[in-house]
Amino acid sequence: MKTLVPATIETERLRLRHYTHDDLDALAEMLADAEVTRFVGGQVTKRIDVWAFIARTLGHWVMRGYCPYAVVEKSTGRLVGRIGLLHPETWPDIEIAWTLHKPYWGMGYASEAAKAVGRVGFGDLKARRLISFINAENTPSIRVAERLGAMREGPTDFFPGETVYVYRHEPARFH
Amino acid sequence: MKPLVPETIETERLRLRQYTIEDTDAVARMVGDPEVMKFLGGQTQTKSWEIWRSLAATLGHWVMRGYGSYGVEEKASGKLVGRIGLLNPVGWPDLELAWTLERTAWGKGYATEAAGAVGRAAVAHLKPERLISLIHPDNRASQRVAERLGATRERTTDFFGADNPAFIYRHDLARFR
Repeated sequence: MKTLVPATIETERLRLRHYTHDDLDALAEMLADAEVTRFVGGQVTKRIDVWAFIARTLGHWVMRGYCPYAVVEKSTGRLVGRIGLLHPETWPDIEIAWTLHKPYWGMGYASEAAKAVGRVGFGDLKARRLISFINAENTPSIRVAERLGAMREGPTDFFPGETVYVYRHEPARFH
Repeated sequence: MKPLVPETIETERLRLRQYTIEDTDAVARMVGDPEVMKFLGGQTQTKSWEIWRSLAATLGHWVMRGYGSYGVEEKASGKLVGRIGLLNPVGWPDLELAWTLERTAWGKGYATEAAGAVGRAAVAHLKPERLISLIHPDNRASQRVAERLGATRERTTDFFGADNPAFIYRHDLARFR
Protein backbone atom coordinates (compact mmCIF):
# COMPACT_ATOMS: atom_id res chain seq x y z
CA MET A 1 0.00 0.00 0.00
CA LYS A 2 1.36 3.41 -0.88
CA THR A 3 2.06 5.65 2.06
CA LEU A 4 3.16 9.20 1.37
CA VAL A 5 3.27 10.32 4.99
CA PRO A 6 4.44 8.66 8.22
CA ALA A 7 2.05 5.99 9.54
CA THR A 8 2.50 7.40 13.05
CA ILE A 9 3.43 10.84 14.37
CA GLU A 10 4.48 11.65 17.94
CA THR A 11 4.04 15.02 19.54
CA GLU A 12 4.79 16.02 23.11
CA ARG A 13 1.52 14.71 24.52
CA LEU A 14 -0.08 12.84 21.63
CA ARG A 15 0.42 9.90 19.34
CA LEU A 16 -1.19 10.02 15.90
CA ARG A 17 -1.70 6.62 14.31
CA HIS A 18 -4.04 4.79 11.96
CA TYR A 19 -7.42 3.60 13.16
CA THR A 20 -8.01 -0.07 13.79
CA HIS A 21 -11.07 -2.17 14.47
CA ASP A 22 -10.31 -1.83 18.20
CA ASP A 23 -11.11 1.90 18.13
CA LEU A 24 -14.77 1.16 17.48
CA ASP A 25 -16.04 1.76 21.03
CA ALA A 26 -14.08 4.93 21.68
CA LEU A 27 -14.94 6.40 18.29
CA ALA A 28 -18.61 5.44 18.69
CA GLU A 29 -18.72 7.40 21.93
CA MET A 30 -17.20 10.45 20.26
CA LEU A 31 -19.36 10.34 17.13
CA ALA A 32 -22.54 9.91 19.19
CA ASP A 33 -21.97 13.31 20.77
CA ALA A 34 -24.11 16.00 19.14
CA GLU A 35 -21.78 18.84 20.14
CA VAL A 36 -18.62 17.10 18.95
CA THR A 37 -20.12 16.29 15.55
CA ARG A 38 -22.14 19.49 15.07
CA PHE A 39 -19.86 20.87 12.36
CA VAL A 40 -18.56 17.63 10.91
CA GLY A 41 -21.57 15.89 9.46
CA GLY A 42 -23.65 15.24 12.55
CA GLN A 43 -24.07 12.37 14.99
CA VAL A 44 -23.32 8.80 14.02
CA THR A 45 -25.22 6.47 16.30
CA LYS A 46 -25.31 3.05 14.67
CA ARG A 47 -22.34 0.81 15.33
CA ILE A 48 -22.16 -0.34 11.74
CA ASP A 49 -21.96 3.31 10.61
CA VAL A 50 -19.06 3.94 12.99
CA TRP A 51 -17.37 0.87 11.52
CA ALA A 52 -17.96 2.26 8.02
CA PHE A 53 -16.54 5.61 9.16
CA ILE A 54 -13.29 3.86 10.12
CA ALA A 55 -13.34 1.85 6.91
CA ARG A 56 -13.76 4.99 4.80
CA THR A 57 -10.91 6.68 6.65
CA LEU A 58 -8.63 3.72 5.96
CA GLY A 59 -9.83 3.56 2.36
CA HIS A 60 -8.85 7.23 2.04
CA TRP A 61 -5.34 6.17 3.04
CA VAL A 62 -5.33 3.41 0.41
CA MET A 63 -6.44 5.77 -2.34
CA ARG A 64 -4.49 8.87 -1.36
CA GLY A 65 -1.52 7.56 0.60
CA TYR A 66 -2.64 9.52 3.68
CA CYS A 67 -5.73 9.96 5.82
CA PRO A 68 -6.86 11.45 9.11
CA TYR A 69 -5.15 9.86 12.10
CA ALA A 70 -6.60 8.52 15.30
CA VAL A 71 -5.21 10.78 18.04
CA VAL A 72 -4.20 9.06 21.27
CA GLU A 73 -3.33 10.78 24.54
CA LYS A 74 0.07 9.34 25.42
CA SER A 75 -0.36 9.53 29.18
CA THR A 76 -3.62 7.54 29.22
CA GLY A 77 -3.63 5.66 25.90
CA ARG A 78 -7.12 7.03 25.29
CA LEU A 79 -8.46 7.94 21.87
CA VAL A 80 -9.12 11.67 22.04
CA GLY A 81 -9.93 12.58 18.46
CA ARG A 82 -9.34 12.51 14.76
CA ILE A 83 -6.88 14.84 13.09
CA GLY A 84 -5.24 14.71 9.73
CA LEU A 85 -5.13 15.38 6.04
CA LEU A 86 -8.44 14.98 4.29
CA HIS A 87 -8.93 14.98 0.55
CA PRO A 88 -12.00 13.11 -0.66
CA GLU A 89 -12.96 13.32 -4.30
CA THR A 90 -14.58 16.72 -5.04
CA TRP A 91 -12.72 18.39 -2.12
CA PRO A 92 -11.17 21.51 -3.67
CA ASP A 93 -7.93 21.28 -1.67
CA ILE A 94 -6.20 19.12 0.89
CA GLU A 95 -7.63 19.94 4.27
CA ILE A 96 -6.08 19.82 7.71
CA ALA A 97 -9.11 18.63 9.66
CA TRP A 98 -9.47 18.20 13.39
CA THR A 99 -12.17 16.85 15.66
CA LEU A 100 -11.63 16.24 19.36
CA HIS A 101 -13.87 14.47 21.80
CA LYS A 102 -15.41 16.85 24.33
CA PRO A 103 -13.49 15.79 27.45
CA TYR A 104 -10.33 16.87 25.66
CA TRP A 105 -11.38 20.32 24.51
CA GLY A 106 -9.43 23.33 25.73
CA MET A 107 -6.14 21.52 26.29
CA GLY A 108 -4.36 22.69 23.15
CA TYR A 109 -4.47 19.19 21.69
CA ALA A 110 -5.96 20.28 18.35
CA SER A 111 -3.23 22.86 17.79
CA GLU A 112 -0.52 20.45 18.87
CA ALA A 113 -1.66 17.65 16.57
CA ALA A 114 -2.63 19.90 13.64
CA LYS A 115 0.79 21.55 13.78
CA ALA A 116 2.45 18.16 13.41
CA VAL A 117 0.07 17.20 10.61
CA GLY A 118 0.72 20.45 8.76
CA ARG A 119 4.44 19.79 8.93
CA VAL A 120 3.86 16.39 7.33
CA GLY A 121 1.52 17.90 4.73
CA PHE A 122 3.87 20.63 3.59
CA GLY A 123 6.95 18.43 4.17
CA ASP A 124 6.49 14.74 3.30
CA LEU A 125 3.51 15.29 1.04
CA LYS A 126 4.91 18.52 -0.47
CA ALA A 127 1.42 20.02 -0.61
CA ARG A 128 1.41 23.49 -2.15
CA ARG A 129 -1.77 24.45 -0.40
CA LEU A 130 -3.38 23.21 2.79
CA ILE A 131 -6.65 24.61 4.03
CA SER A 132 -9.18 24.07 6.76
CA PHE A 133 -12.91 24.44 6.31
CA ILE A 134 -14.47 25.95 9.41
CA ASN A 135 -18.08 26.84 10.06
CA ALA A 136 -18.51 30.51 10.97
CA GLU A 137 -20.10 29.50 14.28
CA ASN A 138 -17.31 27.15 15.27
CA THR A 139 -15.38 29.60 17.41
CA PRO A 140 -13.05 27.08 19.11
CA SER A 141 -11.89 25.77 15.73
CA ILE A 142 -11.43 29.26 14.35
CA ARG A 143 -9.15 29.96 17.31
CA VAL A 144 -7.12 26.83 16.53
CA ALA A 145 -6.73 27.98 12.91
CA GLU A 146 -5.63 31.41 14.06
CA ARG A 147 -3.16 29.92 16.50
CA LEU A 148 -1.70 27.93 13.61
CA GLY A 149 -1.29 31.19 11.69
CA ALA A 150 -3.89 30.41 9.03
CA MET A 151 -5.34 33.21 6.90
CA ARG A 152 -9.08 33.48 6.40
CA GLU A 153 -9.99 33.51 2.72
CA GLY A 154 -13.67 34.13 3.08
CA PRO A 155 -16.72 31.95 2.85
CA THR A 156 -16.95 29.05 0.40
CA ASP A 157 -20.10 27.83 -1.33
CA PHE A 158 -18.78 24.27 -1.17
CA PHE A 159 -21.16 23.45 1.71
CA PRO A 160 -24.57 24.74 0.58
CA GLY A 161 -26.70 26.24 3.31
CA GLU A 162 -23.79 26.78 5.71
CA THR A 163 -21.43 29.67 6.19
CA VAL A 164 -18.03 28.02 6.03
CA TYR A 165 -14.74 29.88 5.92
CA VAL A 166 -11.66 28.66 4.13
CA TYR A 167 -8.55 29.06 6.27
CA ARG A 168 -5.35 28.85 4.27
CA HIS A 169 -2.35 27.56 6.18
CA GLU A 170 1.01 29.26 5.89
CA PRO A 171 3.83 26.87 4.99
CA ALA A 172 6.34 29.08 6.83
CA ARG A 173 4.50 28.46 10.11
CA PHE A 174 5.10 24.72 9.90
CA HIS A 175 8.87 24.57 9.53
CA MET B 1 -3.99 -5.62 8.51
CA LYS B 2 -2.26 -7.83 5.98
CA PRO B 3 -4.53 -9.54 3.46
CA LEU B 4 -5.66 -12.99 4.62
CA VAL B 5 -6.89 -13.99 1.17
CA PRO B 6 -5.24 -13.42 -2.22
CA GLU B 7 -5.47 -9.81 -3.40
CA THR B 8 -6.04 -10.93 -6.97
CA ILE B 9 -7.82 -14.03 -8.27
CA GLU B 10 -7.94 -15.23 -11.88
CA THR B 11 -10.73 -17.30 -13.33
CA GLU B 12 -11.22 -18.44 -16.89
CA ARG B 13 -12.73 -15.19 -18.12
CA LEU B 14 -12.30 -12.79 -15.21
CA ARG B 15 -9.66 -11.09 -13.15
CA LEU B 16 -10.57 -10.13 -9.60
CA ARG B 17 -8.33 -7.41 -8.23
CA GLN B 18 -8.20 -4.51 -5.80
CA TYR B 19 -10.06 -1.33 -6.58
CA THR B 20 -8.14 1.85 -7.22
CA ILE B 21 -9.18 5.47 -7.46
CA GLU B 22 -9.06 5.09 -11.27
CA ASP B 23 -12.14 2.85 -11.07
CA THR B 24 -14.39 5.75 -10.09
CA ASP B 25 -16.09 6.05 -13.48
CA ALA B 26 -16.70 2.33 -13.87
CA VAL B 27 -18.14 2.10 -10.36
CA ALA B 28 -20.31 5.14 -11.05
CA ARG B 29 -21.73 3.42 -14.12
CA MET B 30 -22.73 0.40 -12.05
CA VAL B 31 -24.10 2.02 -8.89
CA GLY B 32 -25.85 4.74 -10.89
CA ASP B 33 -27.99 2.19 -12.73
CA PRO B 34 -31.44 1.81 -11.13
CA GLU B 35 -31.76 -1.75 -12.52
CA VAL B 36 -28.52 -2.78 -10.81
CA MET B 37 -29.45 -1.11 -7.53
CA LYS B 38 -33.08 -2.28 -7.50
CA PHE B 39 -32.38 -5.09 -5.04
CA LEU B 40 -29.49 -3.38 -3.24
CA GLY B 41 -31.51 -0.94 -1.21
CA GLY B 42 -32.98 0.72 -4.28
CA GLN B 43 -30.94 3.90 -4.04
CA THR B 44 -28.65 4.72 -6.95
CA GLN B 45 -25.42 6.53 -6.18
CA THR B 46 -24.75 9.25 -8.70
CA LYS B 47 -22.77 11.95 -6.92
CA SER B 48 -19.01 11.70 -7.12
CA TRP B 49 -18.62 12.00 -3.36
CA GLU B 50 -20.98 9.03 -2.93
CA ILE B 51 -18.85 6.95 -5.29
CA TRP B 52 -15.74 8.05 -3.43
CA ARG B 53 -17.28 7.05 -0.08
CA SER B 54 -18.30 3.70 -1.45
CA LEU B 55 -14.83 3.00 -2.87
CA ALA B 56 -13.18 4.17 0.35
CA ALA B 57 -15.42 1.92 2.44
CA THR B 58 -14.66 -1.04 0.16
CA LEU B 59 -10.89 -0.54 0.43
CA GLY B 60 -11.06 0.14 4.15
CA HIS B 61 -12.92 -3.13 4.64
CA TRP B 62 -9.80 -4.89 3.36
CA VAL B 63 -7.59 -3.00 5.82
CA MET B 64 -9.85 -3.83 8.77
CA ARG B 65 -10.68 -7.45 7.96
CA GLY B 66 -7.90 -8.63 5.69
CA TYR B 67 -10.45 -9.45 3.00
CA GLY B 68 -13.21 -7.65 1.15
CA SER B 69 -14.63 -6.95 -2.28
CA TYR B 70 -12.77 -7.24 -5.54
CA GLY B 71 -13.21 -5.24 -8.69
CA VAL B 72 -14.14 -7.76 -11.38
CA GLU B 73 -12.47 -7.24 -14.73
CA GLU B 74 -13.45 -8.96 -17.94
CA LYS B 75 -10.13 -10.36 -19.16
CA ALA B 76 -11.01 -10.09 -22.84
CA SER B 77 -11.87 -6.39 -22.71
CA GLY B 78 -10.02 -5.24 -19.60
CA LYS B 79 -13.28 -3.61 -18.55
CA LEU B 80 -14.39 -3.45 -14.92
CA VAL B 81 -17.81 -5.10 -14.89
CA GLY B 82 -18.61 -5.69 -11.25
CA ARG B 83 -17.85 -6.04 -7.60
CA ILE B 84 -17.64 -9.44 -5.96
CA GLY B 85 -16.21 -10.40 -2.64
CA LEU B 86 -16.49 -11.04 1.06
CA LEU B 87 -18.44 -8.68 3.29
CA ASN B 88 -18.27 -8.59 7.04
CA PRO B 89 -18.82 -5.14 8.55
CA VAL B 90 -19.40 -5.12 12.30
CA GLY B 91 -22.79 -6.62 13.19
CA TRP B 92 -23.22 -8.33 9.79
CA PRO B 93 -25.28 -11.52 10.18
CA ASP B 94 -22.37 -13.67 8.97
CA LEU B 95 -19.50 -13.60 6.53
CA GLU B 96 -21.20 -12.83 3.23
CA LEU B 97 -20.28 -13.78 -0.30
CA ALA B 98 -21.72 -10.88 -2.30
CA TRP B 99 -21.89 -10.11 -6.01
CA THR B 100 -22.99 -7.19 -8.14
CA LEU B 101 -22.48 -6.88 -11.87
CA GLU B 102 -23.22 -4.03 -14.19
CA ARG B 103 -26.06 -4.73 -16.56
CA THR B 104 -23.97 -5.38 -19.67
CA ALA B 105 -22.30 -8.26 -17.82
CA TRP B 106 -25.50 -10.04 -16.79
CA GLY B 107 -26.49 -13.44 -18.10
CA LYS B 108 -22.99 -14.67 -18.92
CA GLY B 109 -22.34 -16.76 -15.84
CA TYR B 110 -19.81 -14.20 -14.57
CA ALA B 111 -21.29 -13.97 -11.07
CA THR B 112 -21.20 -17.73 -10.63
CA GLU B 113 -17.66 -17.91 -12.02
CA ALA B 114 -16.28 -15.14 -9.80
CA ALA B 115 -18.28 -15.95 -6.66
CA GLY B 116 -17.21 -19.57 -6.91
CA ALA B 117 -13.57 -18.50 -6.97
CA VAL B 118 -14.06 -16.14 -4.03
CA GLY B 119 -15.92 -18.83 -2.11
CA ARG B 120 -13.00 -21.21 -2.61
CA ALA B 121 -10.53 -18.54 -1.46
CA ALA B 122 -12.67 -17.86 1.63
CA VAL B 123 -12.91 -21.51 2.60
CA ALA B 124 -9.20 -22.14 1.99
CA HIS B 125 -7.82 -19.08 3.78
CA LEU B 126 -10.43 -17.97 6.32
CA LYS B 127 -11.90 -21.36 7.26
CA PRO B 128 -15.28 -19.82 8.13
CA GLU B 129 -17.92 -21.80 9.99
CA ARG B 130 -20.61 -20.22 7.88
CA LEU B 131 -20.70 -18.38 4.58
CA ILE B 132 -23.95 -16.76 3.50
CA SER B 133 -25.41 -14.54 0.83
CA LEU B 134 -28.18 -12.04 1.54
CA ILE B 135 -30.53 -11.78 -1.42
CA HIS B 136 -33.73 -9.82 -1.91
CA PRO B 137 -36.79 -12.09 -2.20
CA ASP B 138 -37.58 -10.70 -5.68
CA ASN B 139 -34.03 -10.97 -6.98
CA ARG B 140 -34.46 -14.19 -8.92
CA ALA B 141 -31.28 -13.76 -10.97
CA SER B 142 -29.13 -13.65 -7.85
CA GLN B 143 -31.04 -16.48 -6.25
CA ARG B 144 -30.23 -18.60 -9.29
CA VAL B 145 -26.54 -17.79 -8.86
CA ALA B 146 -26.74 -18.87 -5.22
CA GLU B 147 -28.50 -22.08 -6.18
CA ARG B 148 -25.96 -22.78 -8.90
CA LEU B 149 -23.23 -22.39 -6.27
CA GLY B 150 -25.00 -25.00 -4.16
CA ALA B 151 -26.37 -22.66 -1.49
CA THR B 152 -29.63 -23.39 0.31
CA ARG B 153 -32.20 -20.90 1.48
CA GLU B 154 -32.46 -20.75 5.26
CA ARG B 155 -34.82 -17.97 6.23
CA THR B 156 -35.77 -14.31 5.75
CA THR B 157 -34.02 -11.55 7.68
CA ASP B 158 -34.99 -7.93 8.26
CA PHE B 159 -31.35 -6.98 8.84
CA PHE B 160 -31.61 -4.26 6.18
CA GLY B 161 -34.90 -2.98 7.62
CA ALA B 162 -38.48 -4.20 7.74
CA ASP B 163 -39.17 -2.73 4.28
CA ASN B 164 -36.10 -4.35 2.75
CA PRO B 165 -36.19 -8.08 3.51
CA ALA B 166 -33.52 -10.52 2.41
CA PHE B 167 -33.31 -14.27 2.10
CA ILE B 168 -30.34 -15.82 3.84
CA TYR B 169 -28.69 -18.34 1.57
CA ARG B 170 -26.23 -20.62 3.30
CA HIS B 171 -23.37 -21.85 1.18
CA ASP B 172 -22.29 -25.46 1.26
CA LEU B 173 -18.64 -25.12 2.27
CA ALA B 174 -17.86 -28.57 0.87
CA ARG B 175 -18.66 -27.18 -2.58
CA PHE B 176 -15.80 -24.71 -2.22
CA ARG B 177 -13.17 -27.16 -1.06
